[in-house]
Amino acid sequence: MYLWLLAAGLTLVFGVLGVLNFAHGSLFMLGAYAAFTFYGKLNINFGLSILLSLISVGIIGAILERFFIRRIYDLDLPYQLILTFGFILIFDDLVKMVWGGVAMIPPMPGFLEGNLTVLGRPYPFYNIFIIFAGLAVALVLWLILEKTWWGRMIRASASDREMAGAIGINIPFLFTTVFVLSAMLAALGGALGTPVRVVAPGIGTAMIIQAFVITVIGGLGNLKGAFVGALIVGILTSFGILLFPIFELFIIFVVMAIVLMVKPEGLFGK
Amino acid sequence: MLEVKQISVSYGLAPALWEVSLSVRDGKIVAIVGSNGAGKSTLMKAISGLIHPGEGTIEFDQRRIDHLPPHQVARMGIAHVPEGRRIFPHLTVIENLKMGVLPIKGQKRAQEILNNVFNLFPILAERQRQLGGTLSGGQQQMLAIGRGLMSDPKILLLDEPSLGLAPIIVDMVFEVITRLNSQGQTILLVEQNAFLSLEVAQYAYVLEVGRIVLEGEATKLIDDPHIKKAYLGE
Ligand SMILES: Nc1ncnc2c1ncn2[C@@H]1O[C@H](COP(=O)(O)OP(=O)(O)O)[C@@H](O)[C@H]1O
Ligand SMILES: [Mg+2]
Repeated sequence: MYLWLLAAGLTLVFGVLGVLNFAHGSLFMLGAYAAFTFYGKLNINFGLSILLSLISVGIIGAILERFFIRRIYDLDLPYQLILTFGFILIFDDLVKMVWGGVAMIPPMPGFLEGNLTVLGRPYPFYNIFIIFAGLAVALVLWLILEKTWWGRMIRASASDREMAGAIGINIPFLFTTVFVLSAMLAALGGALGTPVRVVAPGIGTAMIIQAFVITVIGGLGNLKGAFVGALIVGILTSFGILLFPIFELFIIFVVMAIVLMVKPEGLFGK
Repeated sequence: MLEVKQISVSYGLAPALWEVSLSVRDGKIVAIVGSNGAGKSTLMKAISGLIHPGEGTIEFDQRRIDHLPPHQVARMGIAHVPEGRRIFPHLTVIENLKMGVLPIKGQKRAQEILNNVFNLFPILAERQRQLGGTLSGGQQQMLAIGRGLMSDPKILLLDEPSLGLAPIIVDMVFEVITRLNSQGQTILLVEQNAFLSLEVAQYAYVLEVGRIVLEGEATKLIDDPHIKKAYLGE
């Protein structure tokens, strides 16, 4: 489900802005560090910490888009790669400077502790919480895109940016808001993961590769595809870890290769 | 109300317009005729801010607009209905129309305009919930014009509204153009179909390879020997 949150943001930015944001994983990492700081260090309550993390990373996203990403909309992919990859390095180093290079595991919030028994096996309560959070995000995103004025503007400019501008949509501003939404989704993934996964520099990069695989499997720029792709990859990696632990990553690449052979544009691609 | 003064536009190094000037008065239909590649669409894009002229100025209601981004030009009251319609195919008809509403207009006014658009194009009211992409070419053209009207524009820029349409549909579209104008709508009309546009327009300009070569009252241009030979096939 973390993967879904990452893939959703990646997909939005690619589908609407046309930018492949390699630094998306860094926003995930920043979300994790922010949540760790608010929750683990400053002892602010868990829910509020997550909210604060989203806001902080959202602001960083706004700055990134406004001053950097905006300049590369009309450039080729290699330029996008260079710029966003540069940000990965910057953010990784920044995080090392501020928080140090050591991995840190924050404590679990009390109300999410414990196990649920599913089919006779204990299942961590927290995982169930995460699954529902992911589903809730999917529902909210769908509602935003299909039912709101903002969503309609997003869909219109994804399909014809120039025309959307010509009928009065402030495209630069709209793109900033989309980028901020995407940054917040990444941050949510990072923040929600803090109690169960190690917070360390580089966690974003590890995740982003899988998120890319998901978006490719689902069809680049397609949210439904990203959701289904995340489910497939999530299920496969769980089974993969059980059956052949060493091949976890290998399996999802095999799936990607198969999908691309059968349907090169991805499951839901056009 | 619209004054284009001596604008030149290039795509990279390739010039598309040279020192083009034109003016549109309130309440008129002004036509621009010219063959394929003459620069008609380029001129429309320059007016609506989709491209910026290298030289010259464009004024609208006495304000310069040639450096403004397209959404600001749109908000000043210029609606561009582009060549090839360019409706949003994955949005429904009603969503397409609502996209045309500017944020500055109130709910009530928007509803009035919507009713007026449905009045002009009853078929759009019938197909409200259908995806734009599933409409026929003629219906898409109506949708594109309707979307333009939703912003309650002071001037409507129509780029080749007859392109690729069956003759009866073309007649219908031109009937709507005349009707809009009789309600007071100012229109700048671009057409390859010179005869049709000269019939509805009051004034016209002839554009040839990026330059205005002729201008005048539409009724006079219809009888001009050069026009007859080059555009009316006589
Ligand atoms: N996006 C573009 N890039 C480069 N050249 C263009 C572009 N659009 C149009 N042109 C060129 O500009 C000239 C005028 O084109 P256009 O304005 O579309 O003419 P018209 O609408 O009268 O057919 C043509 O020579 C065309 O090839
Ligand atoms: Mg044209």
